[in-house]
Amino acid sequence: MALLPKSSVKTLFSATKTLTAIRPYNKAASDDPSQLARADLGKLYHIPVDAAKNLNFNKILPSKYAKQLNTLDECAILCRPQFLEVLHCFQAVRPTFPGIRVVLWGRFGTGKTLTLAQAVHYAYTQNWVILNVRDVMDWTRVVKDVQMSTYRTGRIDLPEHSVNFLNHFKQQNQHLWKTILTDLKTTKDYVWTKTEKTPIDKPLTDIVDMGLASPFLANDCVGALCRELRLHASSGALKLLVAMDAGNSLYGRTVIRKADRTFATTDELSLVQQFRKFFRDDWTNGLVLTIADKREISDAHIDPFIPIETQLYTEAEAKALHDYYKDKQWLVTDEARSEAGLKQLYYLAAFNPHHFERLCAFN
Amino acid sequence: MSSTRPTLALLTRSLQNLRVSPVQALQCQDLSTAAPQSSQPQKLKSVGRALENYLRNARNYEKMLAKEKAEFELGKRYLANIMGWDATSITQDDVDKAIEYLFPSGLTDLKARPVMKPPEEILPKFHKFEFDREGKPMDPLFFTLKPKFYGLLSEVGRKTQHLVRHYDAQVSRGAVPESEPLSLAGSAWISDVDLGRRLGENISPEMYAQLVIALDYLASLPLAIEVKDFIFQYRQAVVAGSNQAVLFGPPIPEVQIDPASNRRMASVVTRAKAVKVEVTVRDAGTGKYTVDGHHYDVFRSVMARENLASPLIATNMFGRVDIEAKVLEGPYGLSIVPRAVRHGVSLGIAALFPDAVEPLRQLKMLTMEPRRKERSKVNQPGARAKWIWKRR
Repeated sequence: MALLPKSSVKTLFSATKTLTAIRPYNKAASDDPSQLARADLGKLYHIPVDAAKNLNFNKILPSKYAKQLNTLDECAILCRPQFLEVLHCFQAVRPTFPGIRVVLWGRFGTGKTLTLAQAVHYAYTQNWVILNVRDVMDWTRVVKDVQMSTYRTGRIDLPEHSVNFLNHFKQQNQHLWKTILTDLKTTKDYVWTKTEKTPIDKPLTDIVDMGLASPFLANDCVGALCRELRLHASSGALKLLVAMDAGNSLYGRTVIRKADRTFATTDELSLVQQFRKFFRDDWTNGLVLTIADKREISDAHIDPFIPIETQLYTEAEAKALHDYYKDKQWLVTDEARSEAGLKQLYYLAAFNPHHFERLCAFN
Repeated sequence: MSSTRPTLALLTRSLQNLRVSPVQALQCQDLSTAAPQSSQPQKLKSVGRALENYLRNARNYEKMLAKEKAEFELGKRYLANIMGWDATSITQDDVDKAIEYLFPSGLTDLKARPVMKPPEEILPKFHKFEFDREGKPMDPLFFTLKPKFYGLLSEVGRKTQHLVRHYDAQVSRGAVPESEPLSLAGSAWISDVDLGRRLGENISPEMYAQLVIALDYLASLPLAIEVKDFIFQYRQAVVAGSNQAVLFGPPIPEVQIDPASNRRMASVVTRAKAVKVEVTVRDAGTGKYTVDGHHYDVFRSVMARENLASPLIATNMFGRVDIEAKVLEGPYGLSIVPRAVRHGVSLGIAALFPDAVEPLRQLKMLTMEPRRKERSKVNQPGARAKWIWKRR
């Protein structure tokens, strides 16, 4: 029998050790977000990569986290108190309550967008219809083509943004495309133009396809889609999640200029008006989850809502992530992998999750 | 009129004019008829032009100083009138404060600001040499141009000679003198600057070296204890263990007890560039760290946070102290507040935990950064940069 090389002997021994030893990092009991409870706080759970792909996580997650997802080929997210609160809000949704409005707020880098993504994934697992706006500030600050609305005079349509939104909606709800969204039918005739029309009792997917086919109708299609979804949610046929990043931008400022070279207000954008309707009490069985982004100067009137604050890391949370990075061999230097290194990283990051992640990526 | 008998006054006056001995003059019976002395009046010994100039300068200096002194005293009385003080009890401190108030100046060079001080302090000094009636210097070493220094050197030489002779005499008698060696521990030779000030002369490095060699030899002699007093006149005490207290910038502050929470705390005000911060470090903390009320994660730059956290990293005080920093003077840029706060935090931690002083000192965190923005000059874009130079 050939002598085993020293290295493999070592790994054999260490393998037997780890079988009985503590796991490399703090894993949650289950990867199903609906099973997460207080016992799972400070632990990491995984979102399957194909779910992440289906939900277009590349576009909705913060850019650095999206890159990490691609690099590590894994989507591991820390379970933090704010997500559990959001889950409770999900569980409170019912046909007898009007749309529950939840606002995520907090310091820079504390996990607002990430919690939104977690909520979108939860809705995906629970077969909710997801209306996810990637960034409302895109609509107000990134001026693509602009068109005056034919539906209401004085309103401004944003065709390209509407098409992007419809594409995003289509991709995120692929799992329901052939089922709920085809089964549910339009409740009225939609006359887009003299020639284009979606009659009553057609599947909702037709509205989306119409908008994708003709960009100049896309904004009106978005409005119609929103209306239909509200009605069907109120009737109990579906549960609706409206997830908007930088939702306070619906009441903020725009950079879009009108014909007389003055800035338009958000009241004059049809997309904004369509989504503001979700903040009314006239529909039920849905959850409106928004983020109050500090970048925007806004005066939002969406009372009553549930505010959920996102916090800085505790030592335990930082340790859990540190162990995860160690396990993934993401930390470069020996000092960063040590206990003293963790303390230094934690304090250098000023307990901020964003800063902590950046420091771990470069140390 | 007929000639009157010459009065005594006339006699003495004519004597002075003639510069003859009074005895000779009295021998004349009738001075009115006496013919003027054939020899010319004896002149004063002619003095060198340099000495003439010196004497003139000395006289002028005395006059000028007297005038300035009188003006200064008058000025103080005017100042007392302006400021509403009692004219009799005015200190120089009061005068300084009043001038700073009446003539506020933004000049960066403190020596260029308006000042009202006794003329001896401000006006250039004029050294008076001592000469006798004939113009010969009183000091025998005058022509060495540094009489005091060479006098000292000569004194050292004389004493050395005396000790050597004394020792040799005793040895020749057969009795080897037993005396304790002179202990020069804890002191150093007076510095050349201080010596120059004491003697009132400019001492060159070579001269100073020669003096130190001479003094060292004197102190090394076996009977040096006899001239101990003389030697110690030229020794300066070196304070032992003074490194602890002497810091450039604010010293390590005193530890106080916070009345509200009964915790030990240390508070210090420091500067960096043009920014002044007040930092309070409290013991028995939870790791709170606020700057102007904001938690320190508002600093998005890693360098800023590194600066802020570096005293904690150096002394491993994570989570043990609470830090509160406040900016007292602005305006400020992005990176300067962390630098100033870091200095304050280091001093605070050094005050609360004396063991931490050594690691902080070695990392040079206890010293204030003395650099300030250099003044821009005219005809230049900045402090040092010049416009593009063209050969032609």
